[in-house]
Amino acid sequence: MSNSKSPLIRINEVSKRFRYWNNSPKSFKQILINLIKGKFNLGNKATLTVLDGVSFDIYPGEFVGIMGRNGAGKSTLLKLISGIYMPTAGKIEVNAPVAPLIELGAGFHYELSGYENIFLNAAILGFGQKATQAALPEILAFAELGDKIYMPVKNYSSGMVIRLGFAIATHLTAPILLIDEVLAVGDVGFQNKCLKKIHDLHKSGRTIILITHVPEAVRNHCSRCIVIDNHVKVYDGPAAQGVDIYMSAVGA
Amino acid sequence: MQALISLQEFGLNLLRPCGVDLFCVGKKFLVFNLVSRNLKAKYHRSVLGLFWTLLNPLATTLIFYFVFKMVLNVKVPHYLAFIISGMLPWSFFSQTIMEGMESIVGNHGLISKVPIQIQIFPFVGTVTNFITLVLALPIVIGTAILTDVNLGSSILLFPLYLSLLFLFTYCSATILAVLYVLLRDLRHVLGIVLQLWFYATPILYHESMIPKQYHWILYLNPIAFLFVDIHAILVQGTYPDLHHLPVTCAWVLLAICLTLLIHRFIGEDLVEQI
Repeated sequence: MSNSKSPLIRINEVSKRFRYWNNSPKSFKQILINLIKGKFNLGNKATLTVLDGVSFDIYPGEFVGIMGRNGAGKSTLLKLISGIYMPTAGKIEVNAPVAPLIELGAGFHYELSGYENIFLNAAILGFGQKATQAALPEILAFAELGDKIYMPVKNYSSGMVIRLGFAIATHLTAPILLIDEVLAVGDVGFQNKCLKKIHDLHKSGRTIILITHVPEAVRNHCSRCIVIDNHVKVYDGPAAQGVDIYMSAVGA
Repeated sequence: MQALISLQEFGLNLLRPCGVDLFCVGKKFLVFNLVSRNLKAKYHRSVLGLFWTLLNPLATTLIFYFVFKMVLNVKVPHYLAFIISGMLPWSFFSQTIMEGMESIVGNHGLISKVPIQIQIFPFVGTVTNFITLVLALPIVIGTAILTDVNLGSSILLFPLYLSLLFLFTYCSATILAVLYVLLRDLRHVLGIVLQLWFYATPILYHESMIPKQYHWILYLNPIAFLFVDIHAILVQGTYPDLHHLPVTCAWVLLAICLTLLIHRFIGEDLVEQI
């Protein structure tokens, strides 16, 4: 990347391995039985590598698409950037607040009204009261729920829930937005509206990382594409070429 | 001015021991929203919501009163006030650690999708139940007054004992919540332990009724003296024995240290273990 600005996100030789306990005694009962049998073992440790030495930098204002087959390690990468997981090896530097959009409406309480859930969800996403109040009119306008916003969320259709979740997540302003396949839900009209909203956010200076399986989304919106396959980065560069590499990897 | 700033810093350090934001001071808005969610969900659409929550300890109080006063004729003055002033704090304690134990595993969906401090879940649960306890205090004090207890100035010390109970309950809930991630049958064990614990705590009987040779049990029970002192304040109307305070404080301190240790050592990859 020929960019003179300093990177917002710096991923340096990052690996993630999950530890698994085979036959692990996840209970007192099992430990007791093992003790009676005269052995005290805590199960065999096995590790599963999900990411192996991945490095890249992301600069302010980029719109990066991340593609890869199922199980390639894309979501884990996003969780590492958002700080849900810690890397097993390597270093991750994130120099601005991040809004992870891994699940729309995370933590919605279905007995509460949509209005109450806006504040709840915003708090869960890490925003304070002032930021939420400031974004409230736009959230209400984007969600297009009208008076239904005061109804309990359990009476919403799934489309309405998604609309509200997306409205909250995209109108609270964090400089970096991480989006994980949330576009796979909702009807085509809503998907286009979301993509347009994401596009607008990018235009207004946000940095966006989008995980998706939709080639058109990457081709039309992203400035750059990273392809992850078999836990390593196999491509990093212009979007159109990246999509082709992804398409040949999935065998389509 | 300088002194004021260092005092403020000292206060902040107390709230964030060893750099762990134990009391979620950095997440006030989130705590507020989660607590209000819990309270609304609990008491929504039912004016008698609080009543339903308190029904269980109140009914238990009446049953115990019948069995121990009417049938077994236990000689403790103001026995109804005595039981109720022990039952409500106990039911706060036992219910909070039962619910708190499952709070991290139960919120797995959230924890694996949003970066969030895990201690927030036991903390929010403890705060929610503590509010219920505080709202129920008029019942305790009302019973004391109606059964002719002379409440003295010692009642001003009551908030101190409530805070110690809060701290111990919160820490126990956090420790159990983390252990529950690793040992899923903890629930059954805890059920038995709580039953034993209830009878080992002077809730239904006065500490003086314990035979001398078993008195050491009180020192092994972190909350025993809390209940002895609560009884002194709310039923005898006297000042609690101040020799009890160091014992209770030592237990609370130990619980806080254990909680911090747990945060230090398993905090990082706990999310993946759930």
